[in-house]
Amino acid sequence: MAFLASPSFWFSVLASTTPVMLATLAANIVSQAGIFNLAIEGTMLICALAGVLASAYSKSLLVGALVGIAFGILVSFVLGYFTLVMRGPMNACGVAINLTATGGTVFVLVLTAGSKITSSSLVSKTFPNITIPGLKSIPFIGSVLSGHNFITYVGWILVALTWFLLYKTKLGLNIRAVGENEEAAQSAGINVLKTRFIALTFCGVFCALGGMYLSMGSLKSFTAGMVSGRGYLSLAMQAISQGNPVLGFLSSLLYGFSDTITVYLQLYSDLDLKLIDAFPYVFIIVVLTILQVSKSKAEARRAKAA
Amino acid sequence: MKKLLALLLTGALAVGMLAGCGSSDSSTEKKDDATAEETTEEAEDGEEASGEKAEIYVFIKNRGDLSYWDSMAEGGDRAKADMADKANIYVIETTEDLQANLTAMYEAADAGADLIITASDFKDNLVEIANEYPDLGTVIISENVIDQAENGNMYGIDFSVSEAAFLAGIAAADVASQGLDGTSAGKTVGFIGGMDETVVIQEFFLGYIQGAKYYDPETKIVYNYVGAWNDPDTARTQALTQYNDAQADAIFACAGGSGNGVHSAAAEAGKYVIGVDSDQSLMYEEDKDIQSRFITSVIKEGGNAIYATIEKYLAEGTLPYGEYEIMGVADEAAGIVENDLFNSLVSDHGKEVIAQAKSDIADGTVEVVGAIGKEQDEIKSLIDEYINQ
Repeated sequence: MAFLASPSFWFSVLASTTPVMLATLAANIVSQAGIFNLAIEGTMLICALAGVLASAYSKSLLVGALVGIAFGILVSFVLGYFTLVMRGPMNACGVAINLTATGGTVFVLVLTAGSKITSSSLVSKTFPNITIPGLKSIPFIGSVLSGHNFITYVGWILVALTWFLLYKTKLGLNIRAVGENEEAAQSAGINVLKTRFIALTFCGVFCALGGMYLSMGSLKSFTAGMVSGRGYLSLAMQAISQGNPVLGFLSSLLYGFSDTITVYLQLYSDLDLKLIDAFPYVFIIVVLTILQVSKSKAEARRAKAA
Repeated sequence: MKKLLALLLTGALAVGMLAGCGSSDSSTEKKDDATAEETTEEAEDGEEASGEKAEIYVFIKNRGDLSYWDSMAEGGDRAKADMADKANIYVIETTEDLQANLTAMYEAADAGADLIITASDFKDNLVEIANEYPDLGTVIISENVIDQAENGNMYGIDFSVSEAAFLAGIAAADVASQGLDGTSAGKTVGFIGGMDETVVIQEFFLGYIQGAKYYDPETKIVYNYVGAWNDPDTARTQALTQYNDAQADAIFACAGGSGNGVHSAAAEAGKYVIGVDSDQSLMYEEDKDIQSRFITSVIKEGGNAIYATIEKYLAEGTLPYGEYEIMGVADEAAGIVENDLFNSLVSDHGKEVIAQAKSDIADGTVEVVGAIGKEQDEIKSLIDEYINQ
């Protein structure tokens, strides 16, 4: 277990946390607004491809990023239109978007890159890794915190901003009110539909950043299905964090930790691979169970007091 | 009112179902037409040429995967062009839809096929067809289901990719020992597989270990399994850990789409990578940073196997049905890519060892132990045994 003391281990933890963290942030904000967004996985996938293609054709990172984000918002609005305006079932619409994303991205990939697997035949732009001058010179902490991808740092800032938005601003209060009780919010004069679409806009931006981190940050090209369950995982993280972005970040960190430790355990321990592979998920289930038990105990106590 | 609504709904459902059937019917009809057209075309061709031609069908999943199925399609196309005077060869893409594949096979058999060739995924369909049409010749690739063909009209081929991976192991060990720029020269090589307990992957891995040890028994091997075929980000983390923490200089990436993560990690770490299934360096024509990291790629030449089988069938009029043959480096059914990159990265000594290994494998002096046909327990203990040798 000597690797736990190595900075490269903790660096990997933070890196593999990034996409899950952004997806969790997306799940947090829509859940606060009372939307169950199953489509985060598909939205990320679409954005990952859109960003790569736009940056490849425009030869500009900025255009790529903006198109990626635009697609994130667009897909979230599609979900919003069908579930909020047309009153369709949220689960079914989410699944529909995910299926469209899985097949559609491969279809577009074939049309543009001529491959069903990867976009590596296109020259796309990537977000740079940022070295923070002052921080870098601090031993250990410097090599853990400095040198990450641009999106990782943006993600950290967004976690703080989203927390501030949700708990310290009027808009955040409205979002939470809408999620808590639609009718009550409406009678208080809040435009429920508009508030939910605002939450979906944020969700789209976060999904886009998460997706683009994979295809334009950590990796240099799009690979079919590359989100690989991180979007679904964010729903578990949302269940742990209950809509709180800071808790969401911490639970994603927990995932990043358990995911990275499996890589090292595979290399440096004699444990059975099946056991190691199950580690992140077992970890999440255990945490969820503990939370749920303590929550229902607290409720029971409250019920007794009342 | 409620009853009326229920009735309406039932009606709608029934119409929906009928519509569903209708559309699937029409799609089969379309397929029928397509086959019919092909048959008439071929009939016209037949009138022009003299003698009766053999009807040979090659069923593949789809083209465009740049590896397994593309290679088979290429072999079928090549045979079609070269042996046009003796046979009508059709290469048919059925997608992964097993039912569509089965329907297409029945149509082919009814249209008078003499030989049907297919691979892996479609094994159960082929068994069904082989049992239904006792006079039909069938060839299955990569799956041993010969015993299930009750009429004894099935011939099987598999690839000893362990032999090809053996050569890749030598190349990797060579790069890890000669002190190339950016390498640690710690005689450590890595392996990243898509899924654990997958015989196809273990076949590569076993050969790779033995090759690395053949080059130098002191070579150390580290390995990871991604646990998914489409998770390049996790694969990248694993590869960076192997390169930077475990001092591996070359990694053999056997992980489908996840392999892309290993390729990009190689460029980041300034170390080397080995591709699989096709010459994967060609994927990175636009990204020389990554392309220059490829030592070689291990390839299954499914196309060569198909070509050779068709050639044999046309020459002898039959195939050794009931046998399951394993083709390897000597039959050119598997091998490694030896391009300019390979020539510049692998040392002269390394090339000599590879040439030696090829002739040793061909004449049987060296026997590469593979994973095909073995139980998991046995494969795993073999892997442990060779790694700790």
